[in-house]
Amino acid sequence: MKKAVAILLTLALLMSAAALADYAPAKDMNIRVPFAAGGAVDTQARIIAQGLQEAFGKTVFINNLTGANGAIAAADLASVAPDATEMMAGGIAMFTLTPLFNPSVGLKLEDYQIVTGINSEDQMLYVNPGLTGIRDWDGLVEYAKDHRIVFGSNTPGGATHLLATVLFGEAGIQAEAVTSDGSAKDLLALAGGNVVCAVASTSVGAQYVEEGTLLPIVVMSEEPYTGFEGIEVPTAQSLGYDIVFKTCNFIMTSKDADPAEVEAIYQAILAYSETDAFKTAAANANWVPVLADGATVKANIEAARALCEYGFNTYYAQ
Amino acid sequence: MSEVILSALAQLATLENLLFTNIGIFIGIIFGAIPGLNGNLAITILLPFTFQLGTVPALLMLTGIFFGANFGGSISAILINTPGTNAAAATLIDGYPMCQKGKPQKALDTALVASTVGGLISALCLLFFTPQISKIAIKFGAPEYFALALFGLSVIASVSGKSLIKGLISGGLGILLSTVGIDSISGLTRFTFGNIRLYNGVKMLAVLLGVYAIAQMIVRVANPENGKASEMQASGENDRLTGAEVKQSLWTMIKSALIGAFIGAVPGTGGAIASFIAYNEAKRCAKPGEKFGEGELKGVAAPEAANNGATAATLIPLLTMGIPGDVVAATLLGAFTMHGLVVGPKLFSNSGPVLYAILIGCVISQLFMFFQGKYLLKLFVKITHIPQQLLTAMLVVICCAGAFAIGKSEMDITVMLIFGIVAYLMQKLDFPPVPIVLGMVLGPIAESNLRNSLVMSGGSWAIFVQRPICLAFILLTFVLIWLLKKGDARQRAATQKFMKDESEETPE
Repeated sequence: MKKAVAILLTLALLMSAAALADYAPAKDMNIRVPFAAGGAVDTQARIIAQGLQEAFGKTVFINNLTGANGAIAAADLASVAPDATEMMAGGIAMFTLTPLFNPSVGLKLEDYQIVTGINSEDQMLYVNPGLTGIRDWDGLVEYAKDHRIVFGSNTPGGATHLLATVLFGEAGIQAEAVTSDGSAKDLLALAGGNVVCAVASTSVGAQYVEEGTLLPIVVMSEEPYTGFEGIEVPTAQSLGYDIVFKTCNFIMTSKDADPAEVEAIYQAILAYSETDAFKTAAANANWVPVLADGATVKANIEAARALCEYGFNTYYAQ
Repeated sequence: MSEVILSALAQLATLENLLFTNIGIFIGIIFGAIPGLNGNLAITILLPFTFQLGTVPALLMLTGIFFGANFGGSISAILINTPGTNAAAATLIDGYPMCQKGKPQKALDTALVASTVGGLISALCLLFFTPQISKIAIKFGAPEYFALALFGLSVIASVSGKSLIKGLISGGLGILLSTVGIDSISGLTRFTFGNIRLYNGVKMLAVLLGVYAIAQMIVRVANPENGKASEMQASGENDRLTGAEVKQSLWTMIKSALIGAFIGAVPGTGGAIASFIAYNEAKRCAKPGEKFGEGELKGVAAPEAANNGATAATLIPLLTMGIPGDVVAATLLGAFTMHGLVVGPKLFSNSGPVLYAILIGCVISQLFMFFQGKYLLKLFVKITHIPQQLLTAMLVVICCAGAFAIGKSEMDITVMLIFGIVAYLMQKLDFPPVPIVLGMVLGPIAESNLRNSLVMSGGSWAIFVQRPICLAFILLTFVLIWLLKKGDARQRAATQKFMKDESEETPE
């Protein structure tokens, strides 16, 4: 059995290598980025573009087409003939939250092939112990008995708003959101004492935690988070709430693009990720690459979609 | 600390840094000066090239673009009545009338000196007071932002021209326009009519181009006699900024720069608000004989010192909290990250020498900007020699290209043209255009923070008087409106007295 698996794996690798060797794109490549230039995903797409240029000898254009939760970039992608060289960056919200909150945008996961994952991050609930005395989830529940809970998050339709709403809803805690257009602002509001807690990703809160201003008390993942020195952040599941949501970004192309060519591009990205140039660029950009394959990314999106549908139907749709 | 500064100076003093800082400033000025192009576009285009550079020269070049573009925006505001950036919208109120009166060089020189003073003060604040200023900035919550926006909106009273009611209507239109798109509190779409390109709202720059550039082109086409005989007076002997004039307006510049630095340091604000508030303050302090709105030197000095005063200060919340003050700063945030500087509370302790090299470089950049500006302005001022018919045709093409470049969408060209026609009709009916810009810039800040404040307080309006900073801004708003009203009444009385005396002296 083991032998058979080993043979199959070797064959798969050989086929991948062959695909990479055979593939020679006929034209330049285009990665549409539905986020502003200079943002994290834009930066990461540019680093990947550098690798693809070196691998295939073609220019890779980064085209920032912002707005409408990715629909404008998707419309641009749909306007060209399906081809692996025509790609776009995407985020998990496009296929989980946007279809629920803005159905007119009309993006469907089924219409795309995922070329590669780019990143994946845990979302956490942070508190400010210096101002509220809250140091853990039980402390927050106790605090909520005689205080209003106001949390910082993005607007309804955003991941952090949904996660906080579902968490407090499931816990039976009345809570209201003070919204902003970025997690950095939410954490600033928390540091300034304008909200009681806030949901944000691990990287956004890292420096506040290291400095001792903010403390993460819940992580929305399957495993406790141990990335901060001396802190083990419990999962929402361990507290009795089935909330697992990992934000992720990825590069995708049309479902009708040739899968062998898509695979060749993925292999080229993986090969580039082993180089010193990639490692240096990623480290400089404070990027922890998660270059998952298409199937893994799609499975993550599907799992998150179930939570979003539950949250939307229970707490927003009424 | 002194070791960090010495190490920073050692990293800074290279020919490469000198070269790339100047390249950045030059590109910034050019991009800022061309309507529709802007610093953000320049930074986006050049960002990939900086990967080949070291951290210090790369970031000096990009911040150089940021500073240069902010100054460059005033060039088109003064010469062709079209602000290159929204931060320069207040500059044209007096800048363009100066140009029409045959003093384009003097207006541009004033903008340059004021920008340099503003930039220097701001860069020094960034260098020396970042930790202290960020401690004040952290105290800004939703109620303080609302009060600041309200204070900014009170400037409408100052820029409404003959009729306050018409000014308020224009401001209301601006606020209404800012509500288009996805509502920042409820997440619902408003006034998008099913068009996904409106989900992120109407683009400010497209409206600016329409309201100022296109409306003016329509005026020129509708009145061809103005095009034949240039509407500009020829610039004469006194089209030079004198030392005495600099001295007279120096206090205005310093005060405006400090206003700019303060506003810029508040996360999520930026130069446009600062320039209008500084203009308002300069107008409030106007001495007899200073005619704001008709080509007053201080009317150029104040907004220019303020918007450049806000530039380097915008980097304070950017560096210490990761919160950009405006779109350009947001792109710079990415640039800092790409070059290994992870912004946030620990940036100064983690990357001290490199960061201080960049901050000291920011101070020196202001001086380079002054010298480059001095030579470039001599070239730019020649725009006023181009025949109006030719200039009009060229500008329509440039504006269309610029509007398209905003979001790579023809939709923005349509928005620009529609607002050009709307602004033309408004001009015919004597509605001032400046309040539209104010409404669009401040409307979203006022609305979302008002609603967030009421969430924080559980619906109680008392929150606005319970917080000291918030209360101070609200009181300041009322005091300012009262002073402006009093000043207006005094000016009207003086004018009436003057007219009466004149008619008495005129023989029948």
